Amino acid sequence: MATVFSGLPAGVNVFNVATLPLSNILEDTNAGVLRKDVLYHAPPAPPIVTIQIVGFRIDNTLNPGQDVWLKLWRVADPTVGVTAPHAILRCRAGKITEYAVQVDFGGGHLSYQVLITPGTKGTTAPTNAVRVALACLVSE
Amino acid sequence: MFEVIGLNQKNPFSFQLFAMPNIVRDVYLPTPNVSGGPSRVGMILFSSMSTGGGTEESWFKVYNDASPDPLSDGPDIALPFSAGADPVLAGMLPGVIIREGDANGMSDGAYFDAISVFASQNPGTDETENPITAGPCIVGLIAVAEE
Repeated sequence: MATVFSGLPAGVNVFNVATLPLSNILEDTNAGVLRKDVLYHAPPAPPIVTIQIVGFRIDNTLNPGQDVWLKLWRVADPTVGVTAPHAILRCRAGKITEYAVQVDFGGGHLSYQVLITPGTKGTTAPTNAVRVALACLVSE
Repeated sequence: MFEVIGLNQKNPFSFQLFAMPNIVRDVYLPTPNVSGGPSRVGMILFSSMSTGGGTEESWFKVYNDASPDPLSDGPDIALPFSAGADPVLAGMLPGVIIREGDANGMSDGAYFDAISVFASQNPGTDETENPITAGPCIVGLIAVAEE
């Protein structure tokens, strides 16, 4: 039986697809909010050691005037605007963008936020909600 | 640089292979024959080959800019990859396929006004321009211009 992720914040749902390996679709209805260490197993469940994201979908249709960038960190508690993101993906104003690429988060920590500035800098979230979906493979 | 460019078509396309890692500004993008608008980039392939088998961690960066300053302009796309793969084993060939659309549907590729690329040892926005040293980085890019 697949273990349940602990302490998912409001607006984040994880749908388990298969158990070997743990295959999940993470859906976030408002990714403009910083999500820290979002895939986490509380003890006594075994800790997560690796997260592999193999697909990204960014829905920015509610912001027709703002380009946005999904920034992902492989630490549990990033300082937005200071901690360099491990990966950055753009979504243009009013669009949906999908990326098929594998990004590994060794260490088992995944944090992310959608912001209106590319690169490392910037702390401002989009005006309206941005929906994000991540296809994740999780190893314990 | 190896390239295939289809020019005599309504929607010109290009497939290019070129070597990095130092920043390459304003990569050729085909423009529509009539409107001269932006190009849709569908696939970006990148690979690194080492001359010494190093293992430095690196980031492949894409800028929607013809002349970015990597020290101040944040990359629009930044993806990690392991540089320094053994050339005998041909190393890694990670890549990204992009699709873009809206509520009415999705299409292959996403629009870019211009593209510059860079393989850096630094994640995020570079504090110093620090290209990978493990060896050449080969980039393949497929783009099509639409009216």
